[in-house]
Amino acid sequence: MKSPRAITIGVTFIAGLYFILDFIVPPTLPGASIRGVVASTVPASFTAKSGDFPAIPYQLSDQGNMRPQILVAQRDVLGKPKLASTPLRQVGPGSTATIRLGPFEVQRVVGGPTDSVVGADGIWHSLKPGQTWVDSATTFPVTNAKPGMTLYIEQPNAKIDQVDPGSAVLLIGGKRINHRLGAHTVAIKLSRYTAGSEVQLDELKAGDTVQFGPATTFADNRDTAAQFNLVITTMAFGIGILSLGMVHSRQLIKRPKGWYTSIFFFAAIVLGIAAGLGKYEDPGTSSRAFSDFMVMRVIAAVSSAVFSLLAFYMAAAAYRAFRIRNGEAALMMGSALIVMLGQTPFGSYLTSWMGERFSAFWLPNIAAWILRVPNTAMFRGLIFGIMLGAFATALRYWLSMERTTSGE
Amino acid sequence: MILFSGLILWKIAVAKRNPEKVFIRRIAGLNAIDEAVGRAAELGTPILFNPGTDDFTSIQTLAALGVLAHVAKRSAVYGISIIVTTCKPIMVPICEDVLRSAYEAAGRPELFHASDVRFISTQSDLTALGTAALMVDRRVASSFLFGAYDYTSLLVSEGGQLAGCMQIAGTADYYQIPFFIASCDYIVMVEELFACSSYLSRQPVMLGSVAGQDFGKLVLLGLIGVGVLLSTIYGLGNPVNGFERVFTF
Amino acid sequence: MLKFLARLDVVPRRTIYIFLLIAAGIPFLVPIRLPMYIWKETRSAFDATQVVQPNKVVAICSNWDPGSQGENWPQYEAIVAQCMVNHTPFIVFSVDSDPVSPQLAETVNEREAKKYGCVYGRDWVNLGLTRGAPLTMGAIGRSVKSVFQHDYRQIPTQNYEKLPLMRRVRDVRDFSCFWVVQYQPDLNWVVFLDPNSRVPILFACAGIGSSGYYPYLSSGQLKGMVVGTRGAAEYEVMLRDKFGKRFDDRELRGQKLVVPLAFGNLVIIVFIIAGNIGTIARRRLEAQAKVFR
Repeated sequence: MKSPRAITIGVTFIAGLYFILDFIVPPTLPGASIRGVVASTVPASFTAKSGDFPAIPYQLSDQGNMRPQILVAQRDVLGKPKLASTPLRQVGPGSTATIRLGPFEVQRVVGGPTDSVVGADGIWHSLKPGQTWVDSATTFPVTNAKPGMTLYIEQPNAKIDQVDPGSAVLLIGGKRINHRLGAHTVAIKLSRYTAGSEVQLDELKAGDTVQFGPATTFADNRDTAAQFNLVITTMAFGIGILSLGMVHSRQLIKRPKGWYTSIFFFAAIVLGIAAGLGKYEDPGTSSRAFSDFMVMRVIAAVSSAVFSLLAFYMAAAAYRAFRIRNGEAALMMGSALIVMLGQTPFGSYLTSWMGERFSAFWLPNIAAWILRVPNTAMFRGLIFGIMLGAFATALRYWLSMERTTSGE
Repeated sequence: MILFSGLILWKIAVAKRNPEKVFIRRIAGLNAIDEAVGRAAELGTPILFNPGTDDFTSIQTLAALGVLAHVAKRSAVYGISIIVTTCKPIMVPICEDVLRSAYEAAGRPELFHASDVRFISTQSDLTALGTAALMVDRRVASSFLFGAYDYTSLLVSEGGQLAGCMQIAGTADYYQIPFFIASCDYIVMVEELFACSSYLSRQPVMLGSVAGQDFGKLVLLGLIGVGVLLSTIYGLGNPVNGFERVFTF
Repeated sequence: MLKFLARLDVVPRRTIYIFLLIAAGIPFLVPIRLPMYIWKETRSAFDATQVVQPNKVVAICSNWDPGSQGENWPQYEAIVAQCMVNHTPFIVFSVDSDPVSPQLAETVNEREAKKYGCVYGRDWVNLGLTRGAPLTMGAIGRSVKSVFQHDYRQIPTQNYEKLPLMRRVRDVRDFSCFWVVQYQPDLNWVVFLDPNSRVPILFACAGIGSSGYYPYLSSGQLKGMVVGTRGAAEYEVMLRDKFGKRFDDRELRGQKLVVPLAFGNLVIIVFIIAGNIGTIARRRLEAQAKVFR
C-alpha cells in the first residue's frame, strides 16, 4: 500500500527536519537580528486583569524575589497539571496566566490579615484587588497571613491586558541606537568564548554584548517534543510485560519441560509490585522495610553476583585470546601487560625504585602515556569513522532509503 | 553536516547511474553469515539473534535490524527459526515486524511466531544470562550479536562459547570489541557495522552511502592535515591562526 | 620439561577460576595495604571538586546500579566524602538509570552525613530519577527545577523551607562542577549540558571503558576522570593527605577493593604469560615430532 508508506516517509522526514533545525537554527532569525553593546535598558512591563478588578501593572525589573513570574498551566511528563515559568515573549495580550511575586517571609502583619504585611526584608507588601496570598510550600491560598509564614503574592487566572516588551539603548559602531523590542523578541547575551544564551531584558547590564531578534520557537518546543519519546517508551514497557505474560501463560497451560519456572515469573511480578509500592513509604514501616530488603539484599546481591561472573569470564577469555602469533600480536600483548600492571599498585611498586629522575620509565607513567597518546589517536580515528557511519545510516533512515528492514 | 550530507547524496546519485563503479572491500564477518546459517541448517537447530542492549533510538540497533532482516531471509530458505532476545520492551514489536516482513519477502510467512521474539528483562545483565541459558537449552547452532553492547557483552558471548555455537558479533562500542574478539568467531567492527545493510543488500543507493561516508573520511583527513600543518607553523593558541579559531569551541 | 610446559597451553578454565578466586579472596582475609600512585586525571578531578566557587553547588549524576557497584560505589563514596568534609553543598540525581540508583546513592549520603554532621536539604538534596536522555540533559542545564519538581523524598523543590539548598540551584550556571558516576558515562553530557557554561565535567567510570574518554580529556572537554576502583583508592589517599584525621575513611571501600583487584590482575597476567610459554613449547614439540618422522 503506497499511501500509508508515503505518510510514514513524510512524517519521518518532518520529525527529523524539526530536530535538525532545532540544533542548527539559532534562537533568533539570523538576518533579522541586531547586535550591540548595552548602554541602558528600559524594563519590560505588562498589565494583568482578573475578573472585574482593575488591571494591575507589573514591571519586569531586577527586584530580587519580588520580580513577577508569569506562570502558565502545562502538563508534566506524567500528565499532572503544573504551573511553569514562561518568558514574557511567549505570552501576549489575551493570554491567561498566573502572576506570582515572591517568596518572602512575613515579619509582621499590619491592619487586617489581608491588608498589608511587612516582609523580613523590611519591605511593605500589600494585596491589590484580584491578588491573594499563597503559601510557598503548599501553593494553597492563605486567608490569614501570619508572622513566620513564607508567602507568595499571586494573581491567579489573570488575563494579560497590555504588554510593553521594553527597549534598550545599544552602542553599534560608535552610535547610540534606541532599539524597541518586539512582542516576540529574544535577547541573546553573547560573550567572547560562548555562543550565547537567552536572557531576560532586566538581566542585561551596561557593557553586555547582546543580540536581539525574532524568536524561531524551535527551542521553546524542544521539551514537548522530547515527551513523545517518553510516552512511546512507557507504552512499550506495557507491551513487554504483556509479551512475557503471554509466553509464560502458554507455558503454564501446555506444561512442557521446565514449565514450573513460569510460576516464578508471576511470583516475581507480584513481589516486584509489592516492593515498588513500598519504595516511597516512610522509613520504619513494614512496606518500606520489605522494599529495601528486596532492593538492597536481593536485587543488588543478584546483580553483583552476575557482574562478578565477568571477572572469571574475562580471565578465561584473556588466557585464550592473548597468544603471540605474529609481531602485531606481540606488540598488542606487550602494551596490554604494561597498561594492566600500570593500573595496579604493583606497577609503581615494581619500578619506583628507579627514582624520580627516571620517573618517565615508571610503569604507571608508561601506561599513562600509552593511554593518552597512541590510544587517544586511535580512538579519535575510530570516533570519526563511527560518526560518519552513524551519520550515513541516520541519513538513510531519515530519507527512507533504508529498505532492508521493510522486507524489500 | 551539509557538506557530509552533500557528499553522501552525491555518491548515492553516482552509484545509481553506475552501480558497478562502487567497490566495497570484503568483510569477513558478513561473508560468514551464510556459513553460520548453513551450520544451523545442518544441525537442525535454531539461530539466535540479539540486537544489543539499546533500543531503536540507537543507530547501532537500527544497523543491527538490517542484519536481522538479512539473516531472517537467508534462514527462511532453509526453514530455520530465529530466536530474538532483547532487554528493551520497545524492541519486541519492532523485531517482530522485521522478522514478519523478512519471512513474507522470502515467501515463508508461516515461519513467523510471535514467541520467537523474547523480552527477557529490562536489566541487561539478566537478559545476557537468559540469552546464554537459551543458547545452551535450545542448542543454538549459530548466534548473531549485533548492536550496542555494555559490559554484558562478555556474558553473552562467553555463554555462546560454552554452548559451542558459531558466533558472529558486530558493534560500534569500541570497549566491547576486545571481548567479542576473544570469544566470537567473527567480528564486524565499528564502522563496518554501519556498512552491514549496504554490504548485504548490494543495492546501489546503500552502496553509494557507504562510498559517500568514505569520501567524508578523506575530507576529515584533509582537514586534520591542514590543521596540524598550520598549528605547527603558528603554534597552538595563536590568534593569527584563523583555522584553529573556526574549529575551537 | 617441554611436555610439561606444553600443558600450560591448555589449562582448563576451572583452574584459572580457582586461582583467581584464591588471589582475589586472600586480601579480604589478610589486610594488605599497597602504595598508590596518583594519576594526573584523578588529581585534576579532585582539584576541580575541591575549588568550589561561592554560592555554587556540586552536581552529581549518580547513574550506577548494583551491577556496577564494585567500581562506582567506592568512587561515589569518595566524592560525597569530599563534599561533606568540606561542607560543600551538592545535589544528586539520576538520569535514565536503574530505578534503584537514587536509593543506592541516598544510602551512601546518609551514612557519610552522620560522620560529618551534614543535614539533608541544607547540605545535599537527592532529586531522584528522571528519564529522557539526551534531551533531558539539556533541560537540566536550562532549568533544574523544571525537570525535578519533587526530590527523592517527594518534597517540592520549590519548598525552600525544607530544601533551602534549592534556592540557589537554578540552572547549569549554578554548578561549580558536574560529576557523572556511571559504569560508562554518557558523552552526551558534554554535548547537551550546555557547553557554553564552561562547567567542569568530571567522569567516574569503570576501568574497562575509561580508554574511550582520553580523547575528551586531552581536548579539555572533560576536566578530570576517576577510573575504576583504582581511582577511588587514589581519591581516598588524596583526601587523607588533604584532611588528615578530619577525613573518616571507615566503611569506605576504595583502598580495600584495590588490593584484590591488583592480585586478580596479577593472576591474569601470569596465566597469559604461561599460556604463551605453553604455545611456544607445544610448537617446539610439534616441530621436534616432524623432524623425528
